[in-house]
Amino acid sequence: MKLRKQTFLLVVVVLIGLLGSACNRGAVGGGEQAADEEGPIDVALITDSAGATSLFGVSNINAVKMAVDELNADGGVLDREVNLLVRDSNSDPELGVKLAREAILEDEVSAIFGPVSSAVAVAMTDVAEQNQTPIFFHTSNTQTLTAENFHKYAFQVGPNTTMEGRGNAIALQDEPYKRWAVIAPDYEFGHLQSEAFITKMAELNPDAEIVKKVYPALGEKDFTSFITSILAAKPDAVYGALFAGDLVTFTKQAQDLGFFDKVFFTSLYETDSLSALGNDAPLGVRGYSRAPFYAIDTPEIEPFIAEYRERYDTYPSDWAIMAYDAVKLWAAGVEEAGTVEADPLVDALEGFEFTSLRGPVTIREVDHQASVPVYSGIVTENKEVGFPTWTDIESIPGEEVWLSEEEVTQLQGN
Amino acid sequence: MTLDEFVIQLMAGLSRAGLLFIVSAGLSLVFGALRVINLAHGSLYMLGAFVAASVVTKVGSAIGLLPAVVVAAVLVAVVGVAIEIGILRRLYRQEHLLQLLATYGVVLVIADVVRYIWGPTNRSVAAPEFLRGSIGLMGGSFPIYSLFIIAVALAAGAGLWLVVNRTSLGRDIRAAIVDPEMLAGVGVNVSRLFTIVFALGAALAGIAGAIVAPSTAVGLGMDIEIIIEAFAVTIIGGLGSITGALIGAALVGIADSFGILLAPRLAVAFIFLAMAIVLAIKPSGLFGLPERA
Repeated sequence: MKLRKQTFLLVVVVLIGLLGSACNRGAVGGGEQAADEEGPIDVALITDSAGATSLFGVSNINAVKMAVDELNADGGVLDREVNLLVRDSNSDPELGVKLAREAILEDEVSAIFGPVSSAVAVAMTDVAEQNQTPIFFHTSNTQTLTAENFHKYAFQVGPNTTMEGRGNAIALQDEPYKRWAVIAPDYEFGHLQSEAFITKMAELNPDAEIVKKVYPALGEKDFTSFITSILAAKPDAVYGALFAGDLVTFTKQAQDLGFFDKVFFTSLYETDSLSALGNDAPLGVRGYSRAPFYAIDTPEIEPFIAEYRERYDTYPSDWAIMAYDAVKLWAAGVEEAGTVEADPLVDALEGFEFTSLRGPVTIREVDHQASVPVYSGIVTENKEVGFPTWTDIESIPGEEVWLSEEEVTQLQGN
Repeated sequence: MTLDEFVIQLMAGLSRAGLLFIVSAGLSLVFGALRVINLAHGSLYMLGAFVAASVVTKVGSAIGLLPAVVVAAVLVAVVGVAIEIGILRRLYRQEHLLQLLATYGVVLVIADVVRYIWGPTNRSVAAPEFLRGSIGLMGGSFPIYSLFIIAVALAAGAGLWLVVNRTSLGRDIRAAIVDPEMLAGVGVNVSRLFTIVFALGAALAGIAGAIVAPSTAVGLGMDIEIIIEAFAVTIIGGLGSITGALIGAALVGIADSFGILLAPRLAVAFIFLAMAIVLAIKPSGLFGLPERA
């Protein structure tokens, strides 16, 4: 074999390997065929527990299992047992589509709980629409799910990218910084969420200017060049849409460069990232997130935290809390509708008032977005829980930051 | 771009290059002697990082990195020996395609083993106090840890050069690169030599994984991410050549670092463009070995 041919072969195999590694784990759980009217109700959790966003998938799985067990312990939904199928979409949109299709067509699930990655979510939502199967998003939050790609079977229990970006701008509007830089992962979520922040910030604080924007790849391993190029632009403050493994890597490399002493910084410092960082967490930076367990003050959250810790020996992250809410919303909707069938369920859930772990929320009719808040606070040491959490917590109500109904209908193209 | 920005960016590139060199040198060494393209090389790197994470957690961050590097190198070398004796030895006379498939199988197995042992969540490894922070460099500041990576890479390069050029083992390795059958003919135990070379390559991957751990998030997916870059390096530099790995790593590291500054969204493309050009003009790479007769 000649070397040229061999090298070419090598490249081909590496590419095949890449695709293959993304597809190698399909099923991680099993399920039985459900009858339409009686017997167990099948539902599927399709999430990402490998790949760049894997940190959050595990929390999703834990919480959804717990929610389903609780439903079954209380006699099931409509007196029928709930049977959970768990699938791993591996942060891969194509795999997500395939798994969603299988779950709907072969396992005949009544509902799907969505993935971590927004890229996977956008691919999966089309399958749900084509097959008229309700899909509940809790962790992936790109706005297109409730706007451009919205369909009547899609629901969102997390704050979407617009709410998150706008909420952060409101929380930071009184900060004295004029020169802002932005660092966001180069995909759906990173661009939409940081643009929402930039737009709102410009509106609230016309003096603020954006001096630098950088978009590292999702899963970037070396941020040094990005950090030095941000610092070279001499910003006062840096807005980050980094999260999970990327945020851990960024934080460690930024710390070595004295980044946190030079600029104000905020990013998605949620429970999973702060506990992964431990003593390496940059105290004093501003974190934002969607459901920090210690920031929530409702009667429902205390027993939830206690049971979650009992089961998994760890504190529930934001991604656990929201995934749990998604399951409980679905169950409440089914009880209200009196059937698991999609169309009556959708009718029951439009305008539905639901007591989530984060407090009472409404599912807005126009885009099925839950009126959930966005949270932020200062990262501080916390000896009691064993990893850093926040103080000076602010929560901005969802109704204050979501798109107006006119904006939504315009984007939905109706 | 001011001078200090230029220097910082250059050093950041060299630090990435240092890491890529340690990984690619092992990959290249194995190919040179065994003529096996080891897709699982990145998996050995990931294994090294996870082992280092466990050792540092056990020993503490103050001095944890030193035992972590040693344990990672030894343990990964042992895994390498098992792979060579258990799998590759049976495939030397087979087609390259079969060897690729076998090492790709190892990629999948190691990924699942790592997930089984350490779970899917990311880990953060604390660096020793004296390697934290940054030092002044031409008016800018540069992380000490990145300098440390460059230093380890230089030491690994020097050590490898000494082994290959100044020891009897190195003499055998050089001979095996040219003609293993002749080497067997003069009484050298070639299959044992191959095991040693593979273990050496694996140890380099383990060391690279261990030293990268404190500067990044240790998680699944590190294997694929590094192997793609390492192949870019070896394709540019030429498979089988340590010098090629050095030059290739420097080119890729620096192109990446300046690419980010000049055109962030094209940085990755620069590397693959360089790879395509080298493949078109000199398919064996800049310093690549000719095919064995």
